Order: sequence, then structure tokens, then C-alpha cells
Amino acid sequence: MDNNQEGVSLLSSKRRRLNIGSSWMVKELPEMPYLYLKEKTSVVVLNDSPQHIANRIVESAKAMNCIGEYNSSTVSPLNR
Amino acid sequence: MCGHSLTLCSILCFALKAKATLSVDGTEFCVQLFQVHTEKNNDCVIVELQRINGSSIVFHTVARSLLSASKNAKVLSTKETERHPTSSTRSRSSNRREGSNDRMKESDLFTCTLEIVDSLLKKDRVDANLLGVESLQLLTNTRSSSDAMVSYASNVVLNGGDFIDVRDTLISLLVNDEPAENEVEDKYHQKMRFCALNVLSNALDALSGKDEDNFGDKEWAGDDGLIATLFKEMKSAGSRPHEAYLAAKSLLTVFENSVRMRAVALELGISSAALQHNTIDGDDYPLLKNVSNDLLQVLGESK
Repeated sequence: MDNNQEGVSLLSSKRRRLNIGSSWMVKELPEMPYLYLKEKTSVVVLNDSPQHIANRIVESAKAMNCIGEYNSSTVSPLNR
Repeated sequence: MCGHSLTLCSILCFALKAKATLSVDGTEFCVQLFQVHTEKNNDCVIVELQRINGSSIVFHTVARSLLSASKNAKVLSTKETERHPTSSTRSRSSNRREGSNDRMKESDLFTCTLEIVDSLLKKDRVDANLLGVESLQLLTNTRSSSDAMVSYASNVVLNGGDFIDVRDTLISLLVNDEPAENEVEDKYHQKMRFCALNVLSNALDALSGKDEDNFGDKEWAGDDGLIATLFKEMKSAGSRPHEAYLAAKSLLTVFENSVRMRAVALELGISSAALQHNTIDGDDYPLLKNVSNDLLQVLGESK
């Protein structure tokens, strides 16, 4: 099973308690594309490093039992 | 067409660099980070969440938490998150929710509520600003909120407390009566101003009789202060009777509770004679007339 298939199967599992088990490494951020329309569900964060922001997002996502993938590589879930 | 293709290509090329696709309770969404270079500040990061599929309600509940977390704001705890149950866990979590609500301190709930109002008022969207003032209107009204909530919100409106920006926004809405550029803008300003007057009137009602003179000279006294503004509002009773009524009601509460403010009114030339001359004409508006008569009485006594 490749990463994508594994990701789909993880996302479709309903009853298993899964959590994000690794940190989201953000090395380089893309520029906001030209003519890109931002969603309303967005915020601007000033004077903070992208890695810190990503870490806080992951911590919050963990608290809500989210599962998923970072930068198109499937995160290995942890059974709790 | 070419521009669209370029945009799509650039999104596809760059989005993978800092993108997380997450899922909770069958709702899938992605989180993307973008860098924005500005002249003043190079450390500006945009965090954007997009729903891919699943429930919008779940998405917005989660999005609010994640966006707060990304801004390093107060993150909803797990207990608080459970206050917004999803469809699959609704019945199961309802019992837990009751428990967590009991444990949750009332003051925390008040602070959270006012934080939401504060953030709505600070947004650069007119609908969000209006929602913020309307929420405050409900929070200062005893018909829609508990006495404790009304007291807390009224204190914020009059004294600021931890939310000084909320008070400043309200005062600027009342004091700055600049002419609008078009009809739509004018309607919006009128609605905001009406809500602000209502909030002030509610807040004064809630805190009246507490033997506290919380009326700062900076906001209330002076030619551009709230006393002068409210009196000016009363003069427009012909075109905006309800606004005039709310202004009169607010002035009455202030003068009944503060001898100092009555003196300020006299300094500004707001006497019973001036009131009679400018505001009361005819029996068209009984509510306004009653309040104005009371106001006349209070000002007459203070002479």
C-alpha cells in the first residue's frame, strides 16, 4: 500500500482513536501566489517563526484527535 | 485564462511545501502556510484553512481552534472543544459537556465571550463589526443574558476593564458622526450607531444605582464628549426618534447617578430651557416625551 492509499484508509477509519505522532517540519514557506483569493478562515501571524506556528497548530490538532499528513507524506498514527 | 493557469500552477507547485491535510470526525481540511514579504515586516506568515469535505460546522469549530493556536491566542481546551459536539459524538459528549460546563468558571466564560466580541469589532469586515456590536447589545440586555453577564459586559462598556478596545470602539462610534459617502455606507453607519446607543443605554441601566461615579471626564465631558454627543442626538428627534429616545434615556441615567455630570451638562449649556427648546415638540413620541420630561426635572432640580 503506498502512502496515499494508506492516508485514505486512515482518513476513512471512524472509530479508531488515532493521533498525529510526529512534528510538522516547515523549512521553507511558499509566497502567497499572485491573484490568490484567501479564505475567510485565515489569519496573519506577525513576528513568529513558521516552525513555531506549525508546532502550535500540530499541538492543537493533537488535542482534537486529528489525523492526517504533512507536506504530502503520511504521518504514522499512534494507537492510544 | 493564462493568468488563471499561472495562478493554479503556482499554487500546485508551492502549496506542497508547507501544507498539512488533516481529518477529524470525517471532515477533511488542509492547513497551508504562506510567507508574505512586506516593506515593514518580513516575518508575516499567513495561515489558511480550507475545508476539503465533510461537515462545515465541524470544520469551523476546528478551524477556530487551530487559527487561535497559530496566533498563539488562548486555545480552547479539550473540555471547551467538547462544548461543540460533532454529529457522531453528540449524544455521548452531552453528559460530559454538562460536567465540563459546571467546572468551567463563570468568569472564564465571560472573558471568552468578550474576547469574541473584541475580535469581531477588530476585524476589517463590516458584517463582522456589526455582529460584534449586535452581540454586545444582547450581552448588555437582561432579557437575553444573565444578570452576571450583563453586569460584566456593562462594566466593560463603561470602564473598559480588560477590553479597553471594546469601550474605545463604542465611544468612537457614538462620537464620530462623519457624513457617509453613499447611501449604503450611511445605512451601515446608522445601524452601527443605533446599536452603540442601545449598548450604552443598556449598560448605564445595568450599572445605575450602584453609587459609583464611573464617568471619566475624558470621555464624557468637553464639547466632543459623550454628554454633548447625546444631547446633539436628542436634537434629531424629528428624523431619528428612537435614537433620540435612547440618548435621552442614557443622559437621564447619567444625571440621576452623578452630580458631577450634571455640573458638566450645565457647563456645556445643557439646561432645562435648552432641552425644552431643542427636543420636545408635540406628542408624537410619548416614550421620548416622558424621558425628556424626567430629564427636564432632573436638570431643573440641579440648578
